[in-house]
Amino acid sequence: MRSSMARLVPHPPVALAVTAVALVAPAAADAYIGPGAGFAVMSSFLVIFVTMIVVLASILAWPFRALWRLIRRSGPPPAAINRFIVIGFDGQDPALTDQFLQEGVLPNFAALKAQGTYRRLQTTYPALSPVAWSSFSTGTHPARHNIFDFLDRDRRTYLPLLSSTRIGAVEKFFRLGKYLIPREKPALTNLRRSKPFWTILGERRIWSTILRVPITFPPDRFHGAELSAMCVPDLLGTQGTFLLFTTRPPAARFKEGGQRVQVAVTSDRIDTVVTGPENAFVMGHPPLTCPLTVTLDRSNHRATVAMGGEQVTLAVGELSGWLSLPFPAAPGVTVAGIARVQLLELGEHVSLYMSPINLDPESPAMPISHPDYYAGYLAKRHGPYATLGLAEDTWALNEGVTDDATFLKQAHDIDDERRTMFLTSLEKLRAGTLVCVFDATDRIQHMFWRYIDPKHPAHRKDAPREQREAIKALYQKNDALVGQVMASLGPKDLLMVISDHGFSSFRRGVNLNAWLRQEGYLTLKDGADGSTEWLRDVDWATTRAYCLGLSGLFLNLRGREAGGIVEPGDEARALKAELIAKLTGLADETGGDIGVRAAFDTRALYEGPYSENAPDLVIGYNAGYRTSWDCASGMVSGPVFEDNTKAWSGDHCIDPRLVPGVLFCNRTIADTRDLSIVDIAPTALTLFGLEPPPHMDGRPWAVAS
Amino acid sequence: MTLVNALLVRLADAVLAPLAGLPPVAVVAGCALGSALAVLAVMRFTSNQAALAAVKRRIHAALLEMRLYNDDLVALVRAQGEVLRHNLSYVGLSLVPLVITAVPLTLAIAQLQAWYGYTGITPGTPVVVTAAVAGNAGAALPRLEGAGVDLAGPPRFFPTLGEMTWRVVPRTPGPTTLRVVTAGGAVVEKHLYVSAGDEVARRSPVRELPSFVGQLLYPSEPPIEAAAGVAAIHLPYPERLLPVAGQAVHWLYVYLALTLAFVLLLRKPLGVVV
Repeated sequence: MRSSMARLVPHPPVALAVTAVALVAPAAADAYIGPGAGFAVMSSFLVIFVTMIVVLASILAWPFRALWRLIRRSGPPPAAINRFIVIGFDGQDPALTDQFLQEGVLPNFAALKAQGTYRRLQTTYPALSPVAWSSFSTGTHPARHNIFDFLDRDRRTYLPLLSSTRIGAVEKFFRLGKYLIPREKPALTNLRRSKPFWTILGERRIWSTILRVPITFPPDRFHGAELSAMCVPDLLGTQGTFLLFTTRPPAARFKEGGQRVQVAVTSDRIDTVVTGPENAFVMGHPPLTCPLTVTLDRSNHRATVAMGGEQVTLAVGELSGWLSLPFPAAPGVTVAGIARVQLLELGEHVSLYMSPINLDPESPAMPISHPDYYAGYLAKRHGPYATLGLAEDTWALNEGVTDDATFLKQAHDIDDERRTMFLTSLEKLRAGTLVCVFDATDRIQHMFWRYIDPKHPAHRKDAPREQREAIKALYQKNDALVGQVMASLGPKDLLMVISDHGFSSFRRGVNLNAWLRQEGYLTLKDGADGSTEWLRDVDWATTRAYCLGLSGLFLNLRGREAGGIVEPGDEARALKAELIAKLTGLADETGGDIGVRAAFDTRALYEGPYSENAPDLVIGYNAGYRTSWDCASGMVSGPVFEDNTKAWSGDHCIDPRLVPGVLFCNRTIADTRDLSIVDIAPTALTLFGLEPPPHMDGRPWAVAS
Repeated sequence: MTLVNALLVRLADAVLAPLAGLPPVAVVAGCALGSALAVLAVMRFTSNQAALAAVKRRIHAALLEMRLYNDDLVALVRAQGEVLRHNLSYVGLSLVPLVITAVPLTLAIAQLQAWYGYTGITPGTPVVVTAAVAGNAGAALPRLEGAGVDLAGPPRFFPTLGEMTWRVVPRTPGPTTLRVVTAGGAVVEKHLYVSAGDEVARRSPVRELPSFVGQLLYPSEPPIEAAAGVAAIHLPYPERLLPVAGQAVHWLYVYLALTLAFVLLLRKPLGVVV
């Protein structure tokens, strides 16, 4: 009967369809069960098939690759260590570390100190993260890596420029109706010069995983993986612009990194748009937009926020997770961002905070990782994460839009994202280097120092314990991470826990541009009062010196600046000496302290191919002082000294001698000299059996084996 | 099952009969689009979409990991293990929609096969009608009758196969009924659709004893009663092939390929994870 049936069934596909329903059939036949089911099964088997091919190809190719490396002699040399792990806690302060060690709340740091080394780590001049981490990665002083501050100035216009990155515009397009199809990629340049040590390691096939080390945007190309950090812009191209959607009447615009969007409520619903970057794919480059709807549920004190196909219901004060923000740019082209939102108020007025729109790590609009897919790999493995260089929204807190608790949550969430990435990378790393920089230390100390400094103008005795102990709690959290890493170390692994600088209180701001004006070095245009940002009120024809950035003072040098009037040579030297003499010990009569401890002539500090780009003087503010907010934004008006009442209450842009970093190592470092952050790169190379290149300023340490 | 088939035949005929004049490829494409929408709807409402998305992301991550650490054999093998593990999760998560889509789509495919799987037996062309005879070969043999057909030559009996064959020449186009009459007087009918051209109509090449598989495969006619003494009647309808890019392709392949393509195309606009 069965054979008879077989002959009577002339159509195998149909027969298979039925058989597959009746029986558990092999994979290929499952495709006939039904298209949906077939799709699922086929997809699975396709994935398995592809992975098998990849593994097989890798296994087969491996001996040939090894042979090729042998022929080229590009394989790794004999090394003293197997893994070199660097945990960077940006801004971990040695004085606080000592205090917490004494209190016994950092048991793992204490164990690391007992096992190997705990020393102060000299920072760079100036003590700024982009400068110090660039010195860390390249083993050179700023004159060789070309990063002197967050900001540089355009010598033609005196306007500020980001010191680390240039993002060019696309000039060549094909036109297709109203659409523009780019014929080239926008030029993207990392202005940091000199090779990071992981690039040199990579030349000898030593793997490195580099996570969020500042000034790695656009990413380095080397044998390893890198996720960019500081200076990665948000989707608007800024260093972090939050949005405030509010029904409140227009108020003064935000000074720092924020935009107010006026909205109206109609039938308990807000319909608006999130405005994104310019649409480079359409003539006239109109801004990209993504619809945003907020549906209010007043009785339950919550609202549903819908955008980009996603929606989330939030209670007042609740911060959402990452939400997708797709901006359709052209048919088939979407610029993708992610952001978090918080319902700030839901009463007579409604306000919604939106974090800066981060580049979506799964499809970033700019290269933020090496290899390109690495950012996407991390997102697929661990979920969406912050990509913005300065990801914690300090500006929103500074402007009073968000509160301490929100900022803390945001900072800890970002920190947790990074810990997950770091620990996974550590687990994957069998030989080579892993460096990860955690920024929460820096950001939380910037914003919460006022709670540990009773003399700070923004100090509040009645602040909740969570805020008062935020810094200590973070150090303890970091201690736990250190413990986790220590537990995973092998006998040939070297662990360093470092910080690029320490921290101090920022009680009083110093407007050195106002001081330069007061002293006659800087003059304003007729009728100007100096309150315009970015030195636009300055009369360059009569100005001899000006400040820009967080620590640099520049002479208005003829032949260098477009309107320069100070002759290079003797006149410049004399002017510098005069300024150094006047600035050193500059007293704050109201504050009753010295505002500026020293002014350093950069020519005496460091020499290198990029010395010309350095500011002429680096200002060494005293502890408790820093450049004022007005001075940092290029305003000349106002007093020279003023109280800092903002949430941003701790800082490190002061005399570098006052804010060294920390160095913990699981091995003894025998050197008795002062250890500097520039020494780490040559030390790493030496430990991996490589000779540090002669241009490196740092010297390798004698690390016990 | 007989009742279900009867209902499905009515439903399919109501839908497909008005479309009989259209090119078969167009109808198959339309059915594929409908199936794709049904599959997406089932996936959307019966699967854990968030979990499916998460597991797919992990599979992608593991694949990228293989690319990233392609110098490290241990990492490669570990990543492969992760792919396999997540694949199992993926299949597990797809199981409910898999079962839910499998049943209606299989029934639909059987109906479509009856309409688009065969071409006609043409008038004047002799065909061999085969009947599988139940019981032993020594019993008296059945005979074949039918309006609008001529018997060309005597029937032949193959004792080892238990099969009886008749050479039949249809005279006129259109539907007709063949009757196999057993020695005991039982009559088993079999529909025959004779057509001069390549017209689309319901055709069933087999009628057989009741069985689950048989009724799924050949839903157009009710099964033969067990006591009739005939196990199956087979008509050799030629297979219909659809012209696709110069190639003749079975409709089912076209249908499956188009359904998968539609699923892929529509999943993002409709926000469904598959």
